[in-house]
Amino acid sequence: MKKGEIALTTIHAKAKERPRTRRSVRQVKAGRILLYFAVGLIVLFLLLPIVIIPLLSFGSSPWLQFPPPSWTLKWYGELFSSPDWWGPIMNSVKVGISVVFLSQLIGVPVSYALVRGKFPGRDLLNGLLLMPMIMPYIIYAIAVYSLFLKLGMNGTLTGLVITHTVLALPYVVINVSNAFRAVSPAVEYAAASCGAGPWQTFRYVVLPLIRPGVTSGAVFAFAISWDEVITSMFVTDPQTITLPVKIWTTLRLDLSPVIAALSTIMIALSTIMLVVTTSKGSADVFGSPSGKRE
Amino acid sequence: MSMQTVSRKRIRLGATRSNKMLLVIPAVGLLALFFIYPIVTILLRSFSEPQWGLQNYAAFFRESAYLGSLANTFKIAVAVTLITLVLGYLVAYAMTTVGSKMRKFILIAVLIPFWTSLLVRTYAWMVLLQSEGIINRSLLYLGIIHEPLQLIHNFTGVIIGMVYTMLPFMILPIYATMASIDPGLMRAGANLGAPPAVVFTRIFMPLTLPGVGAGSIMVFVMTIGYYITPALLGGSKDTMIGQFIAEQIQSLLNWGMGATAAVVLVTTTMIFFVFYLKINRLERRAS
Repeated sequence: MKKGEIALTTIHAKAKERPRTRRSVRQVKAGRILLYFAVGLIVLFLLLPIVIIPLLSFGSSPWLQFPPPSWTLKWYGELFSSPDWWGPIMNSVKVGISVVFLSQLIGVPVSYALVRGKFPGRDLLNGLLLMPMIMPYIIYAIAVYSLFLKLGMNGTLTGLVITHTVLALPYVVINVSNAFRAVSPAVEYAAASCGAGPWQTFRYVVLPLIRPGVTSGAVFAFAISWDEVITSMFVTDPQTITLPVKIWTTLRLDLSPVIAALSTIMIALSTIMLVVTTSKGSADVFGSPSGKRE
Repeated sequence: MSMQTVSRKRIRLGATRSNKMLLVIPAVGLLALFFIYPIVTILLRSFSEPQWGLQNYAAFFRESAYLGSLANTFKIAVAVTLITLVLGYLVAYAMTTVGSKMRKFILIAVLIPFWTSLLVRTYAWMVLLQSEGIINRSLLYLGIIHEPLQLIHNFTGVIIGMVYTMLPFMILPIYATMASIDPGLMRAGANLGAPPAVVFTRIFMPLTLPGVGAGSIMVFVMTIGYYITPALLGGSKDTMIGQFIAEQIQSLLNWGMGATAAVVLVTTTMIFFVFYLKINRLERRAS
């Protein structure tokens, strides 16, 4: 044992002897119990909706009574058999998948340029790319609605895909550029000096290395599109209505248990997305897709 | 030999530099055409409709009906920020004191709602808070109240819904700051004779301020632009500026007034966002 350590233990022992410290230890313990009680209640508050809605979705009460009088699957049956719900679900899936591809096609190159390139206005570009994340969605919604009125693009799936791509782009850029940052430029030089062209270097060397970032970017992009209400509400018509808009219009009329069934499926889906992005070592769990200004 | 590699590298760099500009074009094009252009045009309409001038702004700041939605927005945003700050600070602090398993559980409890569709969460609160809902029924059952409380379509409803939505945005930055504080500082304070309460208020709390600042500004700035939650959980007296904008444009076709409110909202958002960036930069420099 070294000299310093002995000295330190004696100080600790002396500190413990003091009665004042013992009293404050008791106070700290009481404080801790109070703190954990409060935090327990807050955690309950956070989990309550996520736990109760799935339970109610299997309950037979059309007014969502709790505890449910009996158990049933009829709300799920209604959800899957009604064309009222299938159309919007299919629109959302189509738009979501298109947004994933388009936002990667645009986001990956620009992320590479941001990380590797040194050009004038790079900070400005970075700011521009993050702008759709900061702008309140209602502002973007009325802006794009007004533009699409002029272009005759309201009510088209193309318009919807473009709008969602703009909103998804920041999340793709954040995830992908973080992944690029982790790849040493030396790797690219090595590939190049072994005779690989720029495309080969990217396809066979860089892309496999940034795949986790690309994956979580894609998950984010899909989640953004899948969940987007405000802009979709403005630019869709009855034919191109997406699932969130359908939920929104239904909710304005009543609290149908069919939405509880749908919510349960969506909670399950988002839990899977959470697991995928966190286990893939996502760059940014903090910037969730629900962090949007709705 | 080394000279040769260096010159080859230079050539490669030079060649890819011009390519890099090409990589930027699709993103810039998309944002210029479908983001910057429409937003600038819509904001300009606040000056140009129905005719050029500042008459929309004069009306907005004169009419109490218009100004009311702005005042309401700030009132709700301040309340939501303060409540989430208190609750979020407690949760973040508890996360630093519990074991790693419990910490993981709390983190999951924070992240699952964060990742769940906003509409689903709002729907859940509409169900929970209705007069025949679980909250009212449990309170009646426990004998705390004797008739159902009106918890939805009013100020209470908006606050509950918004606090629920914003809590993760407060917890995560505060927890990140707390986790980065060197525990040795608190031990040093205690060793020098400071009682726990003093260690907490004089050493720990000041060190958490950057996280508190970042979280509070984030929550405030996001709350002022919200639309869905206040529209579904609030009443007609609690409209926020987002709802005001939507109503002016969708129902009243009053583009000039809608655009004016939009300018007010965008300006406020940008000012607070600059503050947020400043605080973030300070924190990064400190750590």
